[in-house]
Amino acid sequence: MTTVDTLRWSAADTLVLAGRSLRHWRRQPELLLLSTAQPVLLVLLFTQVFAGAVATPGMRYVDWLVPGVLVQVVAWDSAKTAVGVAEDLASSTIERFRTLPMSAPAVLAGRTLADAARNLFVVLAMLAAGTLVGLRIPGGPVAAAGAVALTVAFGYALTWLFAYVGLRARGGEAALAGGILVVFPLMFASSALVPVETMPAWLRPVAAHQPLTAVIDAVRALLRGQPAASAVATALAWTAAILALAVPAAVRRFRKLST
Amino acid sequence: MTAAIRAEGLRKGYPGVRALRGVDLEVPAGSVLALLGPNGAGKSTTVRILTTLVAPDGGRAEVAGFDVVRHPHRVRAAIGVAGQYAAVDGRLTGRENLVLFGRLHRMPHRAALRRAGELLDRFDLAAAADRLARTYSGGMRRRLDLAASLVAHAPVLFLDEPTTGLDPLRREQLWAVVGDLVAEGTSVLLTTQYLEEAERLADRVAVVDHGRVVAEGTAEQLKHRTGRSSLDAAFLALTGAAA
Ligand SMILES: Nc1ncnc2c1ncn2[C@@H]1O[C@H](COP(=O)(O)OP(=O)(O)OP(=O)(O)O)[C@@H](O)[C@H]1O
Ligand SMILES: [Mg+2]
Repeated sequence: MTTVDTLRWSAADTLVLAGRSLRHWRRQPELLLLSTAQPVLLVLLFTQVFAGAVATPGMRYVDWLVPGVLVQVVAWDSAKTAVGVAEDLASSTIERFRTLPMSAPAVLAGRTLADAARNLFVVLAMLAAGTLVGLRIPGGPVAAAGAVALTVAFGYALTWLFAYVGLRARGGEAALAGGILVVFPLMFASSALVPVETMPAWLRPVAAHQPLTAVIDAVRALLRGQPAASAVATALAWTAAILALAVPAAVRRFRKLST
Repeated sequence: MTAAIRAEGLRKGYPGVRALRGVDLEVPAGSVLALLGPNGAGKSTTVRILTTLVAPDGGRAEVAGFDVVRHPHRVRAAIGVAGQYAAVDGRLTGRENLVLFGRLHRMPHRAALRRAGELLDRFDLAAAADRLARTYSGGMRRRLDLAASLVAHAPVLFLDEPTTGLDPLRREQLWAVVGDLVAEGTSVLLTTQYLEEAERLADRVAVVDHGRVVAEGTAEQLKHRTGRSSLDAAFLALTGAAA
């Protein structure tokens, strides 16, 4: 087979397996509904609860918060990829796939693609909820679309990271625990809920320079219509760096399952 | 004609266990070999090496003329596999499971759908075809798993304890399916605990014990060699489980 053939078949296998994951969700609409309702609830709650307590210089709290929660939730959702991969491993579904003449990375690529589709859905639902509680998007529709694309792309990179975690974990629960361990510090030691300047001195440099903060700051700038080029560049650099690290690691780990 | 399956000196160890200590096998094209052996003898490990799922520590094996370690992809294109534990996707329907396998074997969607329909009929699953597989009984899952291994008309078939959990009628039906496949030229390696099954289906029987093939031949030869009248008794004599 030529390289082009190989790529074409990998893409075809990826789509078939992404279709499998999407079918799983269609079978459990309540799951999709609940997993969307949760972040929407977060947006509604946080805007009400924290609005009076957190000073966000130069902007209303809701405009500060929604981009933060958006990226937090996408990171959290990506951690679920670890559970899905670990459950497939435990149920010997992946083993069965490995006896087929299919492209090996497609097993992971199909799931991460489906998870990206789910993330897109959740992000749009949260933006809608945000506008209900007063979110304004002075940046306009094009910048907003850019913010959505950036968030989903970053989430996609994270799903590869968590696919790797899922391949290393023994079973779904261990994968979840491992996922939380990675994702919680990133979610909360970030500019998502409060400005980094309000954090203790030891935490500040970490929180200011971690990937979630980079993406949140870029999304915020885009939605507000502020100059965003450098923030977006930093966010894209993180996304690319995570992909460059996680994709080969996960694929190599997947190939090594046979030893 | 080359052998459909040839293994030489396969060795495989797990922490604290020497699962295989040098397994030699040969399955001529178009024939059926039954691996017979007590629990833990190494039957599934042998199957897992031959189906490219685990790499052997030593020895070599070819399936359909391809080395299982160096050309796993070629091997996978030539085999159908039903493992010891049914690996069907409970969150898909029976039909969707089979179509998924057809698509991953790179059949066009319509061909995959047609093939799924044929196999659902053949395995008595037509009435349950559009129910989620997680609502299937154990035997139904098993049959779906077996059907999945036949989706691609693979020339070499591996069935690890294919009739475990099947009722007598369904067992007979599976035997008939295997018989048809062999008549069409398929080569089969199956493992079984049922000596009657080995006798019925297999051209040759390899008795595995403690990670080695301790005897190999037709059922008749094995009975003759051990001086026993039934394969059951021959089996017990060969694996040292009885005097
Ligand atoms: N993944 C594994 N990790 C550790 N040990 C293993 C593993 N797979 C198999 N073994 C060990 O290798 C030996 C052979 O196992 P195998 O599954 O091949 O036996 P079997 O002949 O198929 O038995 P059964 O009739 O019970 O299915 C056993 O001692 C088993 O415990
Ligand atoms: Mg076994």
